[in-house]
Amino acid sequence: MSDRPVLLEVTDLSVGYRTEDGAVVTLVDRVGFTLHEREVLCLVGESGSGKSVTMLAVLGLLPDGLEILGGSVVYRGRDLLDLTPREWSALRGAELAMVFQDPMTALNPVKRVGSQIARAVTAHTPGLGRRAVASRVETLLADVGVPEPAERARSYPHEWSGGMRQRAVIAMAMANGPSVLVADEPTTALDVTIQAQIMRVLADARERTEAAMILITHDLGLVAETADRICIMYAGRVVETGSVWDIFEHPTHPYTAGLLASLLSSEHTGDRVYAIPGQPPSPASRGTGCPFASRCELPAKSELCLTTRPALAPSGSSQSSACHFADATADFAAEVTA
Amino acid sequence: MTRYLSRRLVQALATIFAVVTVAFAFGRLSGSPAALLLTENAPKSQIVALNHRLGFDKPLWLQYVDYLGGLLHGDFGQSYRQVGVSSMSLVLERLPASLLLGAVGLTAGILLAMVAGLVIQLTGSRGLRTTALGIGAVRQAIPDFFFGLLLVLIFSVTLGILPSLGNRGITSVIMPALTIATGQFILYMRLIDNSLTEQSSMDYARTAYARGDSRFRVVLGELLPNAFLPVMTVAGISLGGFLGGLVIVENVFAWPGMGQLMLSAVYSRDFPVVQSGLIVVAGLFIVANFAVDLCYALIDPRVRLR
Repeated sequence: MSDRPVLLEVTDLSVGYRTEDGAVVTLVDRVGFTLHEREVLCLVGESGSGKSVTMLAVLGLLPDGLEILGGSVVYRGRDLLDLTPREWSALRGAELAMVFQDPMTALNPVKRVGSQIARAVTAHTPGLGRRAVASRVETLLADVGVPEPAERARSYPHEWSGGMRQRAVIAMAMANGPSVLVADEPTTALDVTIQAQIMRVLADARERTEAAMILITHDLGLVAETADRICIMYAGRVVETGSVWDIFEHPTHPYTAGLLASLLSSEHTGDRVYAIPGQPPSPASRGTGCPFASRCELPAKSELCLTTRPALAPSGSSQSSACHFADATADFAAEVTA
Repeated sequence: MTRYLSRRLVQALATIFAVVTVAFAFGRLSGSPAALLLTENAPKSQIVALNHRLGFDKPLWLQYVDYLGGLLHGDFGQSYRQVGVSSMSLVLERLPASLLLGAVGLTAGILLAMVAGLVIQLTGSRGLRTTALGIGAVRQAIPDFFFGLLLVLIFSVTLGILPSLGNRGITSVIMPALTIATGQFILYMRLIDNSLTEQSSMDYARTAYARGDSRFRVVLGELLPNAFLPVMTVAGISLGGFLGGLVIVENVFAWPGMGQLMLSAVYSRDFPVVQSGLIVVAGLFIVANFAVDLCYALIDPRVRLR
């Protein structure tokens, strides 16, 4: 994978907010990753681990109150953090597109679905005739498997089911053939029966446009099926990254090992599944040591974990791990999965 | 739709019936008008004769039934003061002036509030919001009649550029309309500001940004239609209070509208005029809220009229 050209490079990105007394609370702490062309990168982590905030920051869509505290986001050689609002408008939707978690709220309730998708087309191809726009919208909807697209385009979001709405959101994101598609838990809000369909639609759409994808998820099953590479996030930091194969085979961070061990598998039917003890620390109380230290069950863990934050360092052929005892993780991983 | 219309019609008739009844009852409670209609030293016989002519010697329930019966035939009763003139025609004669002033004032107020709300939202300026809210609150703290007098003092007496009284051409409407508009401003500005802020954190706004829409485009094209819905609802509901305020403003500026007529009719116990006026006001209220319903359904496809 890594022989392909780099599309997007995020380095030491930090995001946080200021409290009323001026203190800075860091939500995303020096996160970095690289996305190559046509690659699927999965950001994996619990709720609150900072995966969505990271991607919103990358796309310049942070909600009011959150700010980028440092780092860089480079897309095809351009640093995105310096863009003006006008430059952002030209880039977003055209080259970087996003599919959101909840299709029930992602569309404007008072506008026809077709006109919302049409807007994605006209925003980047101004001056296109009405007929041309309408037929483009029809094609886009047909591409994502919406039946009778011409008719459905004239209806409103509340007349669409959740799965159909997510298809419409994907059609909107794909309208201009973006190079990078960010999908933020695109199936979490949907029925289990629809989830596989939507992942199929996403895969087909990427096939057509050759887009790379960053998939935000906490579903490791989905990761195994979709990802080329994985970034595991914990408490606002990347704790392990590597190819999907390497990470599933031999995790080098105790958190990753715990996550994999907590997956249900047919091999161990009837056994008690491993659960990582405790809760992740809140952003305001992450301390100076390893944020996972209090929950870590690695036998090798020591005083060092409580005082010094481990840096991300190579731990395998494709892997990096932010653990002082990455070498000792293999035994632990074997033990908890068994 | 048919069900909705028939339900609305029944509601409207019930409202008007209630208004008519209350107006009738309160009027009679305030005493006999005959003594007020005649000169101060009028002999008893004259008062009795007038009471008889106006029907005040009949029992109250009979007067009420007579009045209702008349209404059903389109007879709203003749004015006590202007003998032989239908009370309704007096009211309707004044209606256009009131509608003009009310519509201009309210529209200007809402437009002003919308512009302020949009500018605050587009610039994201907290200072601007504080300033607008401050000015609006100070204005609201000044009663309409007093604010009107201040305007007269400045623009008519000192500067001499606007007429202070009556309805003499287009310039006459400026000051009374300004009084109304600035009085309504704060209510609608707060509403639109809150509403836009709430909408701006909705997921669909983020979707619009994500497909490449500019802030201007998102605020005007996506947020505003959603944010306007509560404004319409409040405009419909607060119309009653608004019409009450209109009476005061009309009297301050001697605007020849319904408000002036109603107030003088109350003073002179001209019951039929008061009652007809209230029927028209109730009608306006009903029509306005019907219009709000229709606009709501027009803007929000999730609303079905039934």
